[in-house]
Amino acid sequence: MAEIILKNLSKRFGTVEVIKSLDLTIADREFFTFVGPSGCGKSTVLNLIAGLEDVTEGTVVFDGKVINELSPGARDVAMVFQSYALYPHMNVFENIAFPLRVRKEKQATITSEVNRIAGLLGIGDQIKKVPRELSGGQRQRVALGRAMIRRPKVFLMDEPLSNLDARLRVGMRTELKKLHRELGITIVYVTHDQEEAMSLSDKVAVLLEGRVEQCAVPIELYERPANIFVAGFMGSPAMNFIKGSVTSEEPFRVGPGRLTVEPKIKISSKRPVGTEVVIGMRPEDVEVSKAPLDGGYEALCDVVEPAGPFQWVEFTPEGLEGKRIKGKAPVEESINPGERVFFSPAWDRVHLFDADNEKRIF
Amino acid sequence: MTVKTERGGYPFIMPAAVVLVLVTVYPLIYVFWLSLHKRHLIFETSTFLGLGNYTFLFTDERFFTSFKNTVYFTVTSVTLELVLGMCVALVLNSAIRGRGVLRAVVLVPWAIPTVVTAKMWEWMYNADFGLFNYLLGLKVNWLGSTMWAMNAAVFMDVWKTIPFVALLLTAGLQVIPRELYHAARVDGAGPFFMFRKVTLPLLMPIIIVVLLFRTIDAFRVFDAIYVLTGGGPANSTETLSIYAYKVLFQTLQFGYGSAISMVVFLCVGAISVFYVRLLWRQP
Amino acid sequence: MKVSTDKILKRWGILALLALVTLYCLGPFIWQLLTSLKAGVDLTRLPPLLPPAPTSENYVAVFEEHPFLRIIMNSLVVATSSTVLSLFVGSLAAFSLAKLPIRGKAVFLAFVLSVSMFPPISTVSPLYLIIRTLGLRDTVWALIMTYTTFTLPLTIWILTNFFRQIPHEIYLAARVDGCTRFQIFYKIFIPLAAPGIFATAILVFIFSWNEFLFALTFTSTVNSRTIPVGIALFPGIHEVPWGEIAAASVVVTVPIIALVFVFQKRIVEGLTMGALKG
Repeated sequence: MAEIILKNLSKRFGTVEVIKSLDLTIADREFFTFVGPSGCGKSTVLNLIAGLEDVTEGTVVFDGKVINELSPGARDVAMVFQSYALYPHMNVFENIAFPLRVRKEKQATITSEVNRIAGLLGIGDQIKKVPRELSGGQRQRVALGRAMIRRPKVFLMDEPLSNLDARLRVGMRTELKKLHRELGITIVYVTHDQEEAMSLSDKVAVLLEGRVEQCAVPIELYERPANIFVAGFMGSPAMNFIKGSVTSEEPFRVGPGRLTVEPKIKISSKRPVGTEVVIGMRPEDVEVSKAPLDGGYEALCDVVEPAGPFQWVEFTPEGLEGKRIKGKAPVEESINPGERVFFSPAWDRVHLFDADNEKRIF
Repeated sequence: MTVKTERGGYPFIMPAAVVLVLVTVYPLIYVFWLSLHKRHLIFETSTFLGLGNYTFLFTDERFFTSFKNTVYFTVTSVTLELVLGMCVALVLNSAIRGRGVLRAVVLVPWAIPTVVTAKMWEWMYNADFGLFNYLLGLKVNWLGSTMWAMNAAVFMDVWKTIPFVALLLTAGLQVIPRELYHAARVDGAGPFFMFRKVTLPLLMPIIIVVLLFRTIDAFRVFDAIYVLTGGGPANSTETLSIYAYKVLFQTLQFGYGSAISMVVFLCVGAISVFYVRLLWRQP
Repeated sequence: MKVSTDKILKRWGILALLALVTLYCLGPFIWQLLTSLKAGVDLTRLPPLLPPAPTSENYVAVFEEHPFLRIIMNSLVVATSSTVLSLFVGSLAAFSLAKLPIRGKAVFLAFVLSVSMFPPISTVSPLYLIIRTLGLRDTVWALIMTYTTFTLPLTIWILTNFFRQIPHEIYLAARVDGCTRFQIFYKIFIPLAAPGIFATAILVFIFSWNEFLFALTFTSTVNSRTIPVGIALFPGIHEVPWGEIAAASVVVTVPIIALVFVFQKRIVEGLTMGALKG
């Protein structure tokens, strides 16, 4: 139904460049997510696709047609907003019916369509209520219904789950995914929540200051982040970064002082001894224990955070005073702050970055 | 269906802009042009005088009297309104029950047409059968004495505009967070101290806005006094607006009358600039 | 025990103050009402305060001996038309100032605000000449045109603030749903700002109902004369007809007081919105 291509897309507000020559393709029926910290330009990209903002440079292409000059209503897109943006003076029925009314559809069509959609979303019995009488989740469904009723080519969603409480958010995630499969349409989704992006999307673009830092399937973002920013942004708790240098070429080892690891990289990527690098380790890849570990290092425990089936342990490695690292310990280990612990990173899961340009060394 | 995304809301703002320019800006330029001429409406003559009308102002004693009257009226009425309005606002703010009815009651003097107000007060000021003389047991000719007439006008204006002042101040009082008063009470502050150190500083921007509106309104006063006294006795209540009106529409000297109304305009402009700058200097 | 006596004292004190404020605000109007029920010699006799022989004579006179019905009709036509026009033109402008991308918004708002401070006396002479040239002297059109313009700043100011409070996402949603800007204006924004529009309408109506200077200048006969002029120029033969003036005053003031009592909350909202959001 709809493939979206953004070509050399730029947006300036006055002299501020919010989007810097974006190039990417959103495949038909893809669940595509823009993720990034606030102010990275992700909502602006969505507004450019919707036609709510004028493009400064470049083109937006739907199915091979340039649509830069098309008004939002003519683009055949639907949009769900963070605040839902329901019309407060209309009841649920009228809210969902609104896009059809604007297009002057017949009353009979409107009634049957609205009822079908409301039933599909499980709000069939709320049809007479006005938005302020609904719960957050119900409002969310009305907003979805209003977007669905037009059978648009593209669904645009701007942080649609951010206003829901944590429990409902996870529930709605599953439903959105189901809806995407059932409707079989392209969804462009914007969120600041990396976990949401990972769990929902077919493909994710990580945005920083108007630039795409990496565009890939979720698992690749997690396992092979392209640079330090993506590595730090994706995954929770955030990745540990340690500054170090190459200590030996054969076997290839890096580390600050005694803490050396042997990352798996291509032979061609190897650097000479003394090259500055940044070592990245995900907390879940760092094993912590009270008993000495094979190939482990000594450290001083600072903080323990129980997380149910396991616990996060923050510690200061010996000889690296002032540097805190987070690792994971089984729940059976009774570790207390101030105690001596041992840790061991999984060497094959260590990430290596160039200290100068912050890019991944593959 | 290629519709260009509409840029801007100029079509929406155009009607208002056109109307405002045609009915306020154009006349303002026109009145300045008129003020540079000697123009009499009956003879339909018009001669260019340059600033002649303005230099004549300096020799016109009646102009100075009306200027003095206007300033006296403005200063006394605005001062009284602010002080009394603040008292009413404090009462309104402390009333818990019946606030709605009270608010409506307070709005009544504001809503009554000024002309009706003037007629009402003229009757109450009546020297022989007036309510005031009866209640006070006096025999004063309020509107007929040069000593009392202007003050009588001030009292009437104060009565009419206290509600406006009080309502704005009440709105301002209500946005002051209660916690501030609780905190001040805990710190051992008395009511007078709290008013001076908490209420007054926080209310300052609103007080300035109220002063701005009221000063401008008082300075350009016309209908209240025109109906109450007609500017008499012996021009003792003639304000600039009334004098300008008489020159314009009773003696039909459109050039000179326009010059006087330009003076009113310039004074009002100066007053606004003064208060707006004061407002900007607020933290 | 002492605390509760204090409280009772305080409560009575406040009640007494409230009574005082009420008497102060309503007193003059009540006196006018009492006067309107007196006739002949009763008018010039004090005491008693209350009319010894209440009569409707003055009211009958107002309508039968004077063209007061016509004057009231003029006022109704002028005030209603000015309100409708001012709200229509003003709300369009306010919508674009609040939500649409246009340059120089701040400048326009400052201009609007300064227009609201123009002294009427400064524009009355050229307006009179313009109206005479257009042949609109002594017509309701002259007043409708003037009142619409002079209430525009208030309308624009209040409604811009009301429209601004409507979330921008609602505007965006309607755009995506396919509305034109004008459709967004009347399908979404007008209904949502209804309370504000209502408050503004009352203020504009009261202004147009009460205005005197322009009405005095532009009208000369009952063709277009409005209430304030009618009352100010109330004709008396030998002496001032205080009873009839009082009756006429009561007749034209009662609807305004009714408006105030029914819509006091909205009026206060509009007044404070207009003044405080600067």
